[in-house]
Amino acid sequence: MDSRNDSDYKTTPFQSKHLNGDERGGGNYRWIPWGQRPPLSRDVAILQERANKLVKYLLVKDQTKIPIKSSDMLKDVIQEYDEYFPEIIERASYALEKMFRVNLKEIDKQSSLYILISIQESSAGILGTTKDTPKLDLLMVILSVIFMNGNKANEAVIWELLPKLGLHPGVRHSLFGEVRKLITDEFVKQKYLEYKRVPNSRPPEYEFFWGLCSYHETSKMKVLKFACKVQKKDPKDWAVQYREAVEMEVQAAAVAVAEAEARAEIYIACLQIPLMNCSSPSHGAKVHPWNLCPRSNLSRYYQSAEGDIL
Amino acid sequence: MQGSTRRMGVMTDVHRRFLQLLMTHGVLEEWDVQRLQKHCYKVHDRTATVEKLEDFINNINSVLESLYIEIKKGVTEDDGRPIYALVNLATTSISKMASDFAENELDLFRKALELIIDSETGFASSTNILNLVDQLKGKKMRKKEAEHVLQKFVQNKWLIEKEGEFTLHGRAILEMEQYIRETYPDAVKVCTICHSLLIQGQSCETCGIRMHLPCVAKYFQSHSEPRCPHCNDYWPHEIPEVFDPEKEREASISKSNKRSLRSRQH
Repeated sequence: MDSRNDSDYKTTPFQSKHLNGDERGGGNYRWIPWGQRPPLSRDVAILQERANKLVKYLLVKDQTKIPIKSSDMLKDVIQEYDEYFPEIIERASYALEKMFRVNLKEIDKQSSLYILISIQESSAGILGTTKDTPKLDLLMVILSVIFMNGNKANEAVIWELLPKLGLHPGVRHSLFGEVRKLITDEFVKQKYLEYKRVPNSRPPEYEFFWGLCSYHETSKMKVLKFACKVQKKDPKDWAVQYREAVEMEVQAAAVAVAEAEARAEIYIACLQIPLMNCSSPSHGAKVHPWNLCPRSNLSRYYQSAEGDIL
Repeated sequence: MQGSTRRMGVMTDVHRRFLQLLMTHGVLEEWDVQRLQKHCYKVHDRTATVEKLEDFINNINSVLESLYIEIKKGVTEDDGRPIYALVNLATTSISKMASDFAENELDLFRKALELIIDSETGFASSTNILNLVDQLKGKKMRKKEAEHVLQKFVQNKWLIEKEGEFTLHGRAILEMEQYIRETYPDAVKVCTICHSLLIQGQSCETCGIRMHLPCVAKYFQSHSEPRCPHCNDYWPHEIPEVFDPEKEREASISKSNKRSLRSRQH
């Protein structure tokens, strides 16, 4: 049996060693993608168990909608199997896609942040609103203001807008809590918005931009359509924004195709190894209130009842 | 060494969409679950016959088995409505790390839970819960903040509030029954009829046995003289009606009409 297998990923910073700890010296390692490595059922079982644990971890962590750091995943779930992080993450991605129709997406390669995104247009709204709907509605309004304003909005514009929606900074709202905190803190942590200081502004002024997650979860086209629906206009009436929106759609489609192809290659390898059958040791510790909630897809807004915000 | 492959159901996009939507809502009543199922078929597979709900769900559960989660069916304690939620089967430390709530918020829930379990009625008053904020682990919490946290629990369907008192939502019971029975074995109450965890219910004044309201309804259905199944004394309480899904359907249709009107008033 060829014991010189080294599953090495070119992109990973991790060094991969063979699970059996067979460390023959020298640099004679052949690159064999893990999917084609002869499956040692014990090892595969362990990796799959970690992947299953990671799936649940991601689903629970995602409910806070704050992007998940890979360092947290390593610390909390993967632990001593950090060398197999890429493999475990691929298995978890596969399970997430096949069971829950969500994609595990790396939104920031530098800081290694991940989010879960629903794969297709969601049907949310079919059963009425959930607890997240009011916040997402508000976010949609803010995103549209930012976009229509040329992709950035001075904070004054937003603070002026809020009272028109019946929201007052400083006053605690039953659904939104303190609205200033929601917009400048919560939405920013969740990477739906960016709140940046205007360079050289004295006294300091701040501006709002779209956050990374907004780009992933909705699109300029959708936001444009939303704004036009509210204003009862045709999207093409806003020529500049329309062009921008179309361009973004084209780019997003190309990225989606590329990602899907990359996934398919890895998943074909996945299918050759029994995925679902691991006897997992029981994990001890106490149970806490726990609910699963996939990241709410902003596009859900469009499925829900008539735009009834403004 | 090959593991035996258990026969597993097949998940299609219909099942996946269903699962995702169920997760979004946390807990759903049976009528909504049926609508959801039909909607998912409509989106992905118009020609297929809609599988019986029980089989549909068992199918999904067989796929989820490896994750130690499942869609569980329960019944609301107050009026016997069937509900469905996705619950965690394994007791795992992951929930501690990644929960929607901070450490002190979770501890507040735990304190409320203990008061509810110890109470005679299954309800804990807001005052009694708030008096415990000084004992919470983690960051110090003021009573005002604790009030908001309790409301958050209600919004997230972990607690139900009735006239300033709190009890467990059906979803919390579904999710945590095993944990509660293991953690508070002496304090928990159990229904004589169905042997499940009992938070709210009726009790016999003579011998003390307890029954869920829907269990009472079913057991004493068309009994002119309800008597305690244990000591045969007269059952002193009002016998509730058995839950009727047909009546519920009509009620929910008129409710959803009202809902769409209400939402326009923002």
